[in-house]
Parts: sequence; structure tokens; C-alpha cells
Amino acid sequence: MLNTTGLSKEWWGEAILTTCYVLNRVLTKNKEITPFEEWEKKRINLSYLRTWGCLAKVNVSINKKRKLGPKIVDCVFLGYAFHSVGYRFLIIKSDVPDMYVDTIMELRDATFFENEFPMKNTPSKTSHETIIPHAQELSILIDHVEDSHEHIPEVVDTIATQKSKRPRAKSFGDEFIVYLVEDMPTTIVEAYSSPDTDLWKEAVRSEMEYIMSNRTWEVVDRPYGCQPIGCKWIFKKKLRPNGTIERYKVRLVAKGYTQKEGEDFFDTYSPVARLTIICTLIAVAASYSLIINQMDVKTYFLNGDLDEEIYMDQPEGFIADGQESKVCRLLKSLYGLKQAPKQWYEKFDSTLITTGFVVNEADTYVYYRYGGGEAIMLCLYVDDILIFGSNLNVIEKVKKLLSSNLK
Amino acid sequence: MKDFGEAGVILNIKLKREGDGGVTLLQSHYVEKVLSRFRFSNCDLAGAGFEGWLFKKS
Repeated sequence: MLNTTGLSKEWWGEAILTTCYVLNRVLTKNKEITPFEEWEKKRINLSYLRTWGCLAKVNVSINKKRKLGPKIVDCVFLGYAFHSVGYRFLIIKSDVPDMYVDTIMELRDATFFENEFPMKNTPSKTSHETIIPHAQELSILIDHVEDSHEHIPEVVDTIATQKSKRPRAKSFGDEFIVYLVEDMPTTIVEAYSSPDTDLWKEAVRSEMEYIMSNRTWEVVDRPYGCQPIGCKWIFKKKLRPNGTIERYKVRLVAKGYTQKEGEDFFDTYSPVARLTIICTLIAVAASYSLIINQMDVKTYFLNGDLDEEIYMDQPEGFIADGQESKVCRLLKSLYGLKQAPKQWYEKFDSTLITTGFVVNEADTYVYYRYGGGEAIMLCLYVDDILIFGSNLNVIEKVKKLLSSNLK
Repeated sequence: MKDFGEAGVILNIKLKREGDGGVTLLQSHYVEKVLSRFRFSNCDLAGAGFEGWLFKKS
């Protein structure tokens, strides 16, 4: 195909894709119907197929067209667009400022000159004398397809025998989608109708129980003129490295992207420990023989208290009976809210300050307290807390304190 | 709140407590993980292009 049309070798990928595209839409040796029909369960009209590599005069799209400017650009037909009804073109000559030569575009509106191959004359003259039989037949095939559907079988036989020597490169697209889709439910209804219903239900229940016990919101009447933000369940299977399922994880997240700055939230920052600080603290611990302990905050974003007045829709599947029109007024922060990290940091900060900790002047996420022959330092890294203490007693005390104040 | 007790790994750095109170920071587990991911765990060792003694304390 490349030789016949005179395109350079760098376009072999487009050539293969187009070949696959056409082969999937014509009859194979053994079957009465085309692979496309088998897969999609519908018939298509093949009249839109064109000879690969031919000249095409493409109409410039309306937003790039100038009244007195050129209305067409010269292109080489490169294949079929993946996600839309259209063709792919390589621009070879363009007077339009925004369309550059040697770029690919996908458009529908074009006139084809299927006997002209504009790239054929540019490389050395002899190269196009050697014609790959397959490519030629393919273009014949396309012509036949365009003429009528009845003629296809005879032509296809010859193609199919040649084709069998090649590795079948069926559309990569479909396999790729298979990886993406997995069987992760996206809505609560989907989760409840999946094979793992019980496990999902259990996970949803425990998340909801936690949110309720935390007094995250109260159900109130919707204030006049208020547009509550949405919320969504996120389902995820946590996998072990060997691929087996460790647990089913469910999170309720608020659609924070609908929040308006200055109205629903103000600041979103949250400090984070620097790696050098952690190393420094470890060095201090080494030279003073401190004990290093570590804690982790489960669902740390659910800890922060909210200052702003935020209303949220009731979560899907947990709409209270008879209160369908009511909304949730959030009291605690929720995953997805813009201010969630800041609220968590503030909560942590105030908890420590009220219990006598002092903030390190240079790094605001390091806290310390000493006196009575004991010393303790805390270092916060998002949801990990490192505790450095001179003895185990004082560490246990601080841990109890943290656990009672933060979840 | 989840208590991990003695700090083991923080930010993918392993802390190893020495007998004399010192702390060694290790990332060898990470190197091993990367090697096994690319199936290089059983590869042969070869000399590096620089001289190791440059990095040793004299």
C-alpha cells in the first residue's frame, strides 16, 4: 500500500489500521457475515470507504475559514477516524494559517480523487513500479465494495488466503476498553446488582455507619435559592499484589468541583512535612535515643469541622423516607470538598495546641512539648503522624489523646 | 486512628533501629521491588562505572 501510493514508511501504522478497518468490514473466507456484523450485530453501508493514500481536497472548517481566504486544503487520505464519522487526512499543501503541512486532521467534508496519488511522484521514480499485490487487490476490493455488495465473495477469497499469513491485528481499541472497564460499579444501583452485592452492601453500610456516627451532616429543609452540591459513591476493589481481592472499599465523596470560591470555600491549603525535616528529626532521635512511633489516621478528611455553610444532596440509596426534598447540611468535612485538607489540618492543629503542644517556628507541621524530664515531638505528613518521645509512657499518653480527639 | 507502634516505614523509607540508638535509613526494599518488577532480581552483578571508594568514609 505504501509503495503504490508513494507514502513514506512512517505511515505504515496508518496503513495497518486502515487495512484492519477494511478487513473487519468485508467477508472472511469461512463466514457468511463480516466480523463487524458479528461483533456489532448490525449492518453497515460501506459506500463511505475510500482508496487509501489518494488525493483529497478537504473543505476548511467554518471556524478556520476566512471570507476571502482559501476554502480547501490538499490532503492525503490516511484512514478512518476512530471515534467519529470522518476521515483522517495528512495535509500536504495548505494556505490556511492554522492548518500546517504534515499534520493529521480528522474531518468529514472532503472531495476524493481516488485515481490520484499526490505522494507518488515525490520519491524516486522507480519505487512505485514495484507494486505489492495485496495492496492493489485491496484497492480493487474497495472499489467492488462501493459498487455493490453482491460481488464481494469472489474477491474476498483471494484476499483472505493471503491475509492468513499475517498476524491478525484486530482492532486494539476493544481490548483496551476491556482493561478499563473491569467490573467496578459506578453507581450504587450497579453495585447492588453486581455478583458481589453482599460485599458491596456491607462496605456501603460500614461507610455510612461511620459517617452517621461522626455526625457528618444533619438533614434539613432546603433553604430558598440554595443549590446543593452533589455527592457520589466510589467503589473500588483493593487488590493484593498477586491480584486477589483484599477488600471492598466504598467512599462517599462530595462533588467539590461545583463549589464556588468565596462562597462555599475560601482557603484550600494544607502544609506538608518536607523530607529533609523528617530526616532531621530522625537524626535528632538517633542522637538522643528517642523512641519513634507511627500512627495513621483512618479517613482523615472526615475529621475536619466545617466553618462554611454547605448543603449537599442526600446520598443515593440513603434518602430518608418522607424527606426526599430535604438536603444535608454538612457539619464535618467530606472527601471531595475543596476545603477538606485545610479543615483536617486545622483540626489537628487546634487539638495539639489545646493540649500544650508548641508549633515549631520554622516548620508548622512539627509540634513539640517538653518538661518534667520528658520530651515529645510530633511530625505530620498528610495522614501519617510520626511521634518521637523520650520514653514509652509519654508516647502512649499522646496516642490516647490523639485517638480520643481524632478518629 | 490506627497505631503502628514502632515506626517501620515512612514515605517509603525503612527505618532500622541500631543497638546503640542510631537509626539507619534504607530504601533497599524499594530497589528490590523495582528489580523484581522488571525481572532483574536474579541478574548478575557487574562493576559500576565509578569507583566505590569515593563514597566511602576515609
